[in-house]
Amino acid sequence: MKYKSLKSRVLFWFGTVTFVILVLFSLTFNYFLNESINANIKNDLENISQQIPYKKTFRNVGVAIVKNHKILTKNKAFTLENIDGYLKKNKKFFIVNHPNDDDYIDALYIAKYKNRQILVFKKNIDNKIEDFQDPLLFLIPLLLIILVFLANTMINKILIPVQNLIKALQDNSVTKLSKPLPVPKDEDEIKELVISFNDMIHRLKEGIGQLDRFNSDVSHELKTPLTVIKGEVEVVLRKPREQYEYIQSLNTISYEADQIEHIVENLLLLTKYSKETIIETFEICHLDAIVLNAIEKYDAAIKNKHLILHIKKLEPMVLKSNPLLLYTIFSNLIDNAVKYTQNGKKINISLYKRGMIHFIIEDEGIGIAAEELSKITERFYRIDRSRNKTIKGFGLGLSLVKNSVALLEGEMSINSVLGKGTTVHLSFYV
Amino acid sequence: MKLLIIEDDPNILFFLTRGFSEDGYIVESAKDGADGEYLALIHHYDVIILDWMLPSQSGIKILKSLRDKNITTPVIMLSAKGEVENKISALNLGADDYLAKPFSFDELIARVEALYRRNISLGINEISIGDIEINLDTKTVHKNSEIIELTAKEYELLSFLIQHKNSLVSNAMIEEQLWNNTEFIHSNVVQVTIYHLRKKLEKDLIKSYRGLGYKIEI
Repeated sequence: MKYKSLKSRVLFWFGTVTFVILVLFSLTFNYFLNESINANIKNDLENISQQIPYKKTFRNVGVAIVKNHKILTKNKAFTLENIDGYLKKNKKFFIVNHPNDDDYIDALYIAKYKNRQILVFKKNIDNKIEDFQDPLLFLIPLLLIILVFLANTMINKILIPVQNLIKALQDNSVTKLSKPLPVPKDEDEIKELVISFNDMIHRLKEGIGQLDRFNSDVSHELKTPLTVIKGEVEVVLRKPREQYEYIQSLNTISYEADQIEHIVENLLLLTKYSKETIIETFEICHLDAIVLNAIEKYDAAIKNKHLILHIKKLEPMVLKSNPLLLYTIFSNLIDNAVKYTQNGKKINISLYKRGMIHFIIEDEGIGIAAEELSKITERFYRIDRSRNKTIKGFGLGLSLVKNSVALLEGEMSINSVLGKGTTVHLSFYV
Repeated sequence: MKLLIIEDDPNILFFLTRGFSEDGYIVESAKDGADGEYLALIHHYDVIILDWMLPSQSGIKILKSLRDKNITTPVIMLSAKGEVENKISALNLGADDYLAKPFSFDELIARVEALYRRNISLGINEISIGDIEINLDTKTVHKNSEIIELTAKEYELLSFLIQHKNSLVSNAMIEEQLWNNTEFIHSNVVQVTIYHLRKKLEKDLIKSYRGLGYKIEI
């Protein structure tokens, strides 16, 4: 659409409306003025007509007496011809305009007197309406121009802060949402607008910052397996090799490709559902079965590390929820417990209902320091890089759990003592 | 050429070690920062390949600590952080080069070679001593325009001696330079290599000082 400034649109409408009002006003004014002037003339002539039977001479006024469309008598001043036309019309009062002269009019009054008609004709009456019409025709455009000019000035004044705002916003591109907009002093709508904008800019900035961090984290995590795949292929292709070397190499590549797949899947899961759409995915879930499935997945790892997994309580439970997210939550928590608990130690799991549904997993693992506790649910956060390569993982697990729990409107609390173990407590509404 | 690779990802370390070893480099490696720094401090390397993110001690800290201790071995940093600021901070702290992951192995080799060349011959890739011409790029040696076939070890020995031209190089230094710490060394393998090298080149190019070591004089 063509750009039309707010100002020009407001001016256009204001001008049009003002013009129409002015014209209507003048027409009304003109009409009533005309009526009143004519009424005066009519009264005047009527008075004269009433005097006719008793008075013989009239100066400046033409008088005629008509019977059966024939003039019985008339004085000199009665110059009107073709009176039949007037007599036929069933009207008492006529204004006769001069064909070429607006300044004067003639007026005719027809009165009945017994079986005759008395005609009073006044010539060359000063047309008073003309005196008003000309200035009015001149005043309307003048008034219009003055009003539009005033409106223009006013709109300009109102638009100054808006234009400042536009300028400030144009300076603030998405990539450098550096500074908040200057808040005007006046307590008005513009100030409210600026405050809302600043609030929005602040939130945008946060969002963009998070996105940037997230992008750099993702690319970092994806680059390591990519480096291996690229390097492995390049090095192996440098010369012909034995079959076992190719197999070994392909195994490495396959493993790294799995890592990439794992990261990508988790990332998709993190962004797949939203609070608004999650409810559409709800179905009947047997919570106890999902927990058991998740435990089963880590069976081998538990055996390998000689961990003691103790199910303290597992009440049969049915809930309308998203089974994939629930499984992701449980398996990630179990995965963490298994990963960070030393050989031979114990992990307790309970699932029960006390008002809400509770899932508790306690381990006797290495624990989390108090200052790290708030950060561990951040994406890609891993406490100590030294554990990175001995304990595999990308630091996506807990952030995935946190997001999933939030999507299912549950609550999660993590308690941990460094060196003693960690307890994760989830609760969901029934 | 002797390389130290400090990289914590076992798979990256594996292909790097394999690729460089197959190209005739002597490779030693460390999987965490502290070990890597220790190796860099006590041994001589021609180039160090250093990963940025390392357990126990980050690559950038190792770099700073090495430079603080006046160890000027060329260092090429590897990192998944590809942003310009990271490159600048690494270079400012004394890294000689920077390569972002994922990288091409050939590019890494070329960069390592360039660093090595810069260190031993001020960036020139051809050195000539008498009738002998050594091309550091192609790793070929010519005598009177005729190619001399050298084994990888012989070539390494020659370039090591040239690197330490006009100074005495001991048996132990050669052992350390030409073999990594996991290889078993026969007591006279250095002498044998020297013998072969002298036979292929001019006899008196490499001077032998009994009980002390060897020297190339230019």
